[in-house]
Amino acid sequence: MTQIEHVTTLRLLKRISAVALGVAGFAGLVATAHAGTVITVAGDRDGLGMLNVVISLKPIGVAAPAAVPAIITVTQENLQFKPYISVIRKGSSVVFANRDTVEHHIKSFSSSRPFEIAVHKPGDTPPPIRFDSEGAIVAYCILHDWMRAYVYVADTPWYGTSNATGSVRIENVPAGEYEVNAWHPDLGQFKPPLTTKLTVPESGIVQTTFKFEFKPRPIRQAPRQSGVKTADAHQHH
Amino acid sequence: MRIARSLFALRSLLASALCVCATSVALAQAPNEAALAAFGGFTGLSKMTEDFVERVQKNPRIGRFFKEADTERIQAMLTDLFCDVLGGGCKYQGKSMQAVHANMKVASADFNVLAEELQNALTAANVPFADQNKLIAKLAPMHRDIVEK
Ligand code: HEM
Repeated sequence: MTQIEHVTTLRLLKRISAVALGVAGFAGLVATAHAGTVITVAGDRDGLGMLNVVISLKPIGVAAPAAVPAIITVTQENLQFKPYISVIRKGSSVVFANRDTVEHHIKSFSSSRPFEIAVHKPGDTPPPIRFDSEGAIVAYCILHDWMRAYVYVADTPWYGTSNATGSVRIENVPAGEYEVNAWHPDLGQFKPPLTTKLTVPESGIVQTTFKFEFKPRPIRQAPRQSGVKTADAHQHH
Repeated sequence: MRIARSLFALRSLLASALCVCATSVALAQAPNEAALAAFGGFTGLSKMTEDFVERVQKNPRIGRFFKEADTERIQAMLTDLFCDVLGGGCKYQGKSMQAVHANMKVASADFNVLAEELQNALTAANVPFADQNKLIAKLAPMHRDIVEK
């Protein structure tokens, strides 16, 4: 791609991004010739835009480009996991770092990759945990019932997470046929994501919508009162 | 952007390499799959429990208890507990049954309805009756900690 072409593409993309909202995956960093933009909008049972829907695009008939394993950090801060939801490429790792003022005890029961980080102190940075299977991981804190973190492991570099209007915008997707998956935490561990197929054009935008058959449940927040040390009664049976 | 990211990755790597903390990362359950074979292994048990929690929530007699409940967490904790009592290699570390159900005013009849739904979920998951009874027998003594006297 020549410099001029590159600049034009960028300008075009910028103009488009002014129109649509959304968080694009890292794939957007590399501009590709003959690539289009995918915009998805996810709605709930009542047609309202749905936050935290993970969209991933898997090329049909061709292998996704090789993964560059990354390490991301999910912190515990102010009695919450941050970020609440992350998407990583298969083979990447997550560091669950305690940046809080209290201890935490993380446990995840997902069949594909159960793990536990037993009681760890403020400032602790346990070793990264690598995820080699596609799908969703839910991390709980045994000490604080409301704390929840999701890590969605995708086998593709093209993904994004929806904003409050339900939209996701993924740029620089090479032209071709794709399977588009839409996953939301309230599907639980076993219900499959919503899925559809689409053709990404050589340039320009392709759009699709998803409708979930439920209303997302509210995200639990830390109790207001300060000085919460641990959950009320933490006993072993 | 690229460079920033790899620097970040490097930093996290260094941070974890330098960490002399006692924190350990372990498999939450080293599931003893053999003990869970009748339940479809840990995954089968987890699926059955998800179905069970959905049945309980929809049940006209006890559904109200679970209206505001965090069913996602209940599903996870229950799976851990079931796996533990079945000898599946898990270690339930959540709150005691007494602490969880305190002030809920669960009656004996409610407990029985829940047990029926558990049997329904187990039957739907094709768990043989002998193994269903094994699980129910482990849970029955919890009655005294859950039901309001
Ligand atoms: C042997 C029978 C039972 C067992 C083993 C059991 C076990 C559990 C477990 C493990 C949790 C999750 C605790 C946590 O989040 O840390 C829970 C929560 C709950 N249980 Fe039970 N339970 C039983 C019977 C009942 C009955 C009969 C009722 C009411 C009809 C009931 C109502 C609830 C409710 C409402 C919650 C949610 C609490 C919350 O979200 O704060 N349970 N139970």
